[in-house]
Amino acid sequence: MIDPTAAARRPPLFALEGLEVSFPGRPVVRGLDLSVAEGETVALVGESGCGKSTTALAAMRLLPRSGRIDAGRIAFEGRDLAVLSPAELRDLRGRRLAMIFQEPMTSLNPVLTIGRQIAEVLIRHEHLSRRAARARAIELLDLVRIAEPHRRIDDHPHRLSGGMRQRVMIAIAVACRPKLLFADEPTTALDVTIQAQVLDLLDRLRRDLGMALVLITHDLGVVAQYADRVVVMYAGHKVEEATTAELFARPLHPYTRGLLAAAPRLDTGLHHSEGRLAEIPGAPDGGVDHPGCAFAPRCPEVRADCRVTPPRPLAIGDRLVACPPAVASAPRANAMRGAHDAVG
Amino acid sequence: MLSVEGLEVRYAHRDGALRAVDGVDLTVGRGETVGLVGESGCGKSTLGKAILRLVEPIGGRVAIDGVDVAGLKGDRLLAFRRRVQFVFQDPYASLNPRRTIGEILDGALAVHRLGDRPTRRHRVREILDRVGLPADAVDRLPHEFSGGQRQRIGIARALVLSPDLIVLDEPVSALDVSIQAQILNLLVDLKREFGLAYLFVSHDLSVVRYIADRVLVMYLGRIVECADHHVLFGEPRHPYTRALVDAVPLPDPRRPRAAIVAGDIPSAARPPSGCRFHPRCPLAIGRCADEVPSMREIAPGHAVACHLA
Amino acid sequence: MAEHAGRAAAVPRGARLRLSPRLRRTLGRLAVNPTAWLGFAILGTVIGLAAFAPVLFPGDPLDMVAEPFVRPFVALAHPLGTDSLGRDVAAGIVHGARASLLVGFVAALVGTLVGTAIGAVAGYRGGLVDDLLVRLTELFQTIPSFIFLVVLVAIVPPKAVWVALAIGIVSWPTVARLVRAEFRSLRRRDFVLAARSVGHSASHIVLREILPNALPAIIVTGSVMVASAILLESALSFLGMGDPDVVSWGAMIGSGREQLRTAWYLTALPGAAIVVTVLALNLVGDALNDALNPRLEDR
Repeated sequence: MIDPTAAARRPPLFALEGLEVSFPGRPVVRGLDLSVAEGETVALVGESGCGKSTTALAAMRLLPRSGRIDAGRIAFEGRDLAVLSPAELRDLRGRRLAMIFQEPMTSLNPVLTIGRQIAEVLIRHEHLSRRAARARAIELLDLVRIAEPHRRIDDHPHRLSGGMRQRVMIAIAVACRPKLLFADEPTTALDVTIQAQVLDLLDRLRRDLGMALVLITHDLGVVAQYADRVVVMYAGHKVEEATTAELFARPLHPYTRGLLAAAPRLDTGLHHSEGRLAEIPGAPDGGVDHPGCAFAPRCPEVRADCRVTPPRPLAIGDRLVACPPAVASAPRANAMRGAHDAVG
Repeated sequence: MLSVEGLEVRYAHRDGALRAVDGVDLTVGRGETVGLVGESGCGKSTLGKAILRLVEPIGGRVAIDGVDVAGLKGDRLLAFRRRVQFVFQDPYASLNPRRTIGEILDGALAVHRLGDRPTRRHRVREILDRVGLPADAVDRLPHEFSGGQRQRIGIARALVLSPDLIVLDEPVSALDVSIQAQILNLLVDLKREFGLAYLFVSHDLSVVRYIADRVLVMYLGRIVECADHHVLFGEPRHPYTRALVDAVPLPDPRRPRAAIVAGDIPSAARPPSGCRFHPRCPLAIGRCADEVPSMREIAPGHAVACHLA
Repeated sequence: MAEHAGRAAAVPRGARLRLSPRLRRTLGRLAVNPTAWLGFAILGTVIGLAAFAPVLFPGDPLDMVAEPFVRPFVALAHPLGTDSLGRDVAAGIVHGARASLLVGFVAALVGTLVGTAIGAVAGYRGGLVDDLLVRLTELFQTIPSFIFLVVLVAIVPPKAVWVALAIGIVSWPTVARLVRAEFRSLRRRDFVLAARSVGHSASHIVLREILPNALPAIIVTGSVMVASAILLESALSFLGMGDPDVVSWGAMIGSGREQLRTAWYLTALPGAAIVVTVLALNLVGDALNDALNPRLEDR
């Protein structure tokens, strides 16, 4: 892990400013700010429908036809991806920016060999000859720790296990040494022993290739172990952002606290004979009919004005919390340090 | 109450017979929650289904209160089906999209001739209320509900027949964390209230750690370890159990990262010789490749299938 | 309780409460579909004409009523003219609609019932039963259907109902294949397993759990089958193998073909009737397909 304060001071590699994305009749991402420094791992965490995957697709400009970017800038290496032409985007994607998905079963083309699929990216972006691309594909398979790459390269995807397919997807994604990789639930479909292998691989590649990683996940364990910084999303909003250490030590937003308390734990965990799990009432897809905080209908600490005023993200030190009551009642030491940091 | 001995299930597979479940013994006592954990392809779901004869086992014995289930037909089979119920993983696929919730629940009562129409209607409302669904759910179709609510419907369908045992196949895996906690709490409450026993099948160790009284670990069709929940998670003895426990990323950044077990899970169609875990086992010795380890009790209530345990 | 009363008030009768939301949604989707309106309007007109044929054109349409070869739009008494034997073309088309629709619907009904039964058994049972039924279906499909139909019609008495049955017999394999495929995929779904785990019988599972889910596909195929049956009947009548005692569109075309150059309208008018009716049935089929599709049913 890199020093989070140092990361904050460096100019961001990638930044979303006020991103708004909607599908017909349904806003999905509502005014999201996000910045990613070179080489860091940022986790986007939240439950289904919170807009975390949509954010990544919008950032890659890969939204389905019905999705629209309504507002916001997508800054990457001095350019605004939101206004780039399809040709310019195609040149960036796969070369400077890449993405891997949850389903390794469906994201590979079943009729092409894996070698061909890796080589294609290299031929497209680095203009390698077929022969050179193939040689490089073998190196990449070796890089993602697939045993006997010479033999595996001519296999079709159905011959590989789920974990191996995800490795191939990673090989394709990192083939041109991108600066930024979006990983959308990369291990959700995998078994736990395989998940550990794949996460370890991603983290090693991030370090070795100097690439930044945006890790989209619902698994708080994965976040705790692999992210430098965490952005918690709820109903399209960023509700909390902090370094991983701080977030897990002192979650401030009621939703973050609720999530951490609701998940059963293997280490310090509770047994049903000792007590109940903390519940967050209601469901994440419940509609909100007031202008205030989207979490208000489920929040155990809701106040009258929560339903009236949209919560502005407030800074406490180098963290952001979109919940004024939680910020007000946060430990004083925190607020002091926040003020100090702001001055410094 | 439920006892399973030497259960075997095979599927046809392009490389020959796939031994999905290969000689499994287990028991579930009245009011007990037994967790069954393992990774995909280990046969845990098939085992759950075979107990209910939703897939036909080719060998072994499933008995409930000492009565062998294999030969049951007609009314006796129906009576068994009432006592042992099933909750599915996918709350979308397991409810008929064209039947209302009332029809689904009433249908279950009607096959078992449990009461006349008004009694059944009353019972359906009572159960819906108990699992936390509104009374007007009766006239609605499954797609009008969220994932968590659908799983409540699935639980209601199982519960409406007042079973003694419910086999739950990954019941919270498709749900968000906040909904998962609601469903797990509901299951615990129902168990206390109705004296239910659960066979809780899951790949999620944290969930099983919370809900199970006793835990079985399965690898490629066989049980490799079985112990009380605090023993199994506290002092796992089988190297596979240890690998599983160690691979779970903990939601605490101060903890060390997951330990990596090398290798892929082999196909159940071509399981390794001897101990099936030996190609991935960090402790394997020569004997492990040749000799199949049998389950040995190493402490009261703690059995392990490992030569080195 | 208050919200209950509200719900009950919204839905008029308890007995219909069960189906009405679903049915209402389906009808609602049909109501906003212009294709559906067009299809149902044409089909409704054709059915109306057929139903009121004896009122609109009393008497036998095969009777000679005027001099031959009266052109259309010339004589008010015979708006669409007369044929080579002095029979009224308009009367023939309206009465012909009866034969065409009767044969079309009966044939589609027979084909759909037989096909659904065979497909359902094959798809649900699987194994040896499935193998045998699939072979049987393939046997029927490999015989060129029109030639098979001609042979069948040559054997049975030349009555409209027999012709309809014969058409039904040559067209069931399409439905059987479709239903088998639907049943095979539906039978593996968890809700079928759930029904078994609750203790439901095989007949309940087939009729109450699986069939309702396969029904939209069957209805859509059925509506298209009516169209193809009308075409088959016309072709048979054209060849003079239809029921000689009733007038049908195909028979009119058949008898008019000799005068194609001098009196083109004798073939064109019944031909247009066939085209319009078949088109309407296809439009209805498309509209039903859209309206019944369960994937669209979710919000």
